[in-house]
Amino acid sequence: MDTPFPFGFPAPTAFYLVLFVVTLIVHVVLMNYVLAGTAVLAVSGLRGGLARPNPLAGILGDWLPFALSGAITAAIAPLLFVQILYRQPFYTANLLLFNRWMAMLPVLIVGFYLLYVLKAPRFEGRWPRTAAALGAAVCFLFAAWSWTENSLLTLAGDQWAGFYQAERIVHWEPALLPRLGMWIFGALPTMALVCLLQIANSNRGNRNLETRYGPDAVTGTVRLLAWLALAGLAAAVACGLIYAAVGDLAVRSALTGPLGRWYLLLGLVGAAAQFALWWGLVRDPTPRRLAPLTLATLATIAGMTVFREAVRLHALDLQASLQPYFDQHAVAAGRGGFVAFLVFAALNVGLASLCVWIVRTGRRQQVSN
Amino acid sequence: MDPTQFPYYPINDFGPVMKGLAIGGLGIFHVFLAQFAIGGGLLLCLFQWLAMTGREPAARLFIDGYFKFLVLLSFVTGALTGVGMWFTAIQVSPETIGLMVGEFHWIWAIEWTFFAVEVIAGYAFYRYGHDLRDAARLQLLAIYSLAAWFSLFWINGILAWQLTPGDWAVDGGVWSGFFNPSFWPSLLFRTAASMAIAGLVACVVINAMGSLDYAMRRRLIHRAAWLMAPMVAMPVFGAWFLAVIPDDSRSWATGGSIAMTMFLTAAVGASVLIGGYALVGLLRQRLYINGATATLLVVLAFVASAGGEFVREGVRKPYTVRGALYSNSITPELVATFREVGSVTHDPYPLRDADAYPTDQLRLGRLVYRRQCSVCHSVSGANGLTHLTGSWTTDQMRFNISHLQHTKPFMPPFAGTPAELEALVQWIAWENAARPADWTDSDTSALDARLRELLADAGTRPGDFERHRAEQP
Repeated sequence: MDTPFPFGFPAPTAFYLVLFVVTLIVHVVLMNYVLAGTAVLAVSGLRGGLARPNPLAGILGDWLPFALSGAITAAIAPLLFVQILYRQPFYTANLLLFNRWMAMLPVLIVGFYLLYVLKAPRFEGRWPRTAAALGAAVCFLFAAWSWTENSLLTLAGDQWAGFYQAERIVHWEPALLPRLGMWIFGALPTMALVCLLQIANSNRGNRNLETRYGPDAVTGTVRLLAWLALAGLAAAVACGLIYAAVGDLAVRSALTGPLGRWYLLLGLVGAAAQFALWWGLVRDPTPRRLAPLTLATLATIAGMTVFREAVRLHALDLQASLQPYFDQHAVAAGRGGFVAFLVFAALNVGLASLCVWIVRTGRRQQVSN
Repeated sequence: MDPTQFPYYPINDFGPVMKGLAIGGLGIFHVFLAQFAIGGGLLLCLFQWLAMTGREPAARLFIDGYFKFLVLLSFVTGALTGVGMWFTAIQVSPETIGLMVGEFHWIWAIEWTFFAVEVIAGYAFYRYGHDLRDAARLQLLAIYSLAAWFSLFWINGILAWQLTPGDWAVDGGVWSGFFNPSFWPSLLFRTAASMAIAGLVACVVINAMGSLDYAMRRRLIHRAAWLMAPMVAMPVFGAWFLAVIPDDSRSWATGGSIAMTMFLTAAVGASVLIGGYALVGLLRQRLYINGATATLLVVLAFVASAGGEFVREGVRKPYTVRGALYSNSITPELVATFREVGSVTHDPYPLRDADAYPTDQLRLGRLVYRRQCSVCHSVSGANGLTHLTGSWTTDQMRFNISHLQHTKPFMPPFAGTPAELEALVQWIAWENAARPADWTDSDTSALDARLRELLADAGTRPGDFERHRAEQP
């Protein structure tokens, strides 16, 4: 705990920690897009924004089902590695909140289908789309709340027996809302960035949004995205400050200790850079400086994801020795199959790239919209 | 293992429902959807080839409609129930899923990369397929189909390992466990089943498509029926599977356990009906099948899948991983230790309803039930203990429970102290007596010698046939 993440841990532990964090970041990007995207559509619908076609609703409505599919697929890898890293606390929290996990499956299925309703031509019109967006947003917020609660309960080992005996179904602690708020509001800049990239890409390709909606609508959308990102960043930072203030010893240890503080700094530097770049887009709403904005967003997500892990490691270390975890990781690392995984992962990256190539080169004719 | 290091997890009470029913229900649903997706990929490749070679022009109309159906059903519900399986497995047996993940996480990671390709190829076809040239469409479908089938390939190895760990039990090697004795028959059987399911669903979709006239439907149904042709090999694969599973497991399925046998019979019967209709009616006599009949056959296929999965799960008893982990999450090595120190001595989770029991002995009995029995038995509901033991005398209960693995070889050995055995017996007797408010504890110290003798006589080893035969003089 006295060196930056993941140094200082035994090699197998560091290995699985890195794999977990990297795969989680991929999931977080897609999850942020879905969570913030549905929330924005729901609010937009309530304010009358879905009554007529507009670029943001068009992009989100079109891509949200695929993004959710991607988010679920990307969730599998970190879900696999978390079971190796923190088996007992993870399973225990899941068992204690079993009502929630049994509800999660139908809730997510409903949310998923509502995204298809949002996209379907037969459900055009303000209220059907608003209702679908609102329903989907509620489903995904439920998932976010459950997951945050589960993560916090994982760290509350001293409360497990009492929680079980009292047949509680909700875990509450002061850090819950600010931590949840940090992730929910932090999703907005990610969604805004991905939408911005989609707009920039569409302007280069043959599905030009300016042709479809007019240049003013696209400019207005870019400015709206910039405001959403700025508002999300501000709210996330505010929630982060509250989280730091009400957080327990593990949070304070992660804030001050070398394990997480450099990553927190990375996250904050990324957030500051995002502020500057999004503010520039408010003043001049043309998609530009996309590479630095992407880097800044990824820095924020990576920094905060590692910081989140530092809090967990400090909490577990405060409860008991981490040695049993290290022993389990060493046993897992001794199992075969890693080389085969690398081979098939490379093969499948190739196949996925081939799919993209087939789509790019296999068109019958140029399609205009 | 040091008993203080045993990973105690909170155990939830599902009331009158067997926990196995929860995971079984979701599992069957997921398997059916997953197999539909796998067979669907093969079917779409066939139809795309028929369309682009001019052999069946109407196939083109069918492909997009079927693929939309596949995406909406399989990509959404199928994918989520797959993730849901993990969470449900944690609810039922965290130790089992922990062992599976620990041993095979790289296999699972490989499977995940194939699933990711399946999603990418599938969505690429869904989104851009209508703009693509025929060759590009076929390429995308082939990648989708290949990835989907390889997902089955990898998961099948892990599932088959649970029943027939093969050389893994000796050398602990991942590949020894993965390519286990039931790997190939199980894979081939599931592949044939996937194709049959996809063919049947195609018949439903073809009938539901208003853009097709009768002649087109008739031709397409005949083409789709070709995917059911591999069903002729399913009896061979099934027999091969039965031949390689352990003797006692085969015994449950073939008469030893009437529930298992009936489920197997239902699965075989439903498969025979589907196969007979497909081979004789659809392929040989080229009959037409309407939407209602096709739907009925899909339901029959679901029944067959459900029966087969139930038998596959059931014949593993008393293990979740044969030879390594009992259904109640106690390892064979720990039984002897728990006989000395107790199975609930270090359990940190108290009873939720401790006040409901008039004595400490009954409270201990309830804890032992929760730890050792509740994963498969409810109190008075499904597979309820009061149903199973209602006619037993107290002394008979002492004997039967102490000799559990010999009384019924699909039960694990009792893993507790004499005091825990007696507490469990008393708690069951109290439940059988309709939970009276007044209850007198039995004198465990007076019974101690008798209980120890019973437990020693039963031994701590499992009651499977091979071991039992080997140990007989």
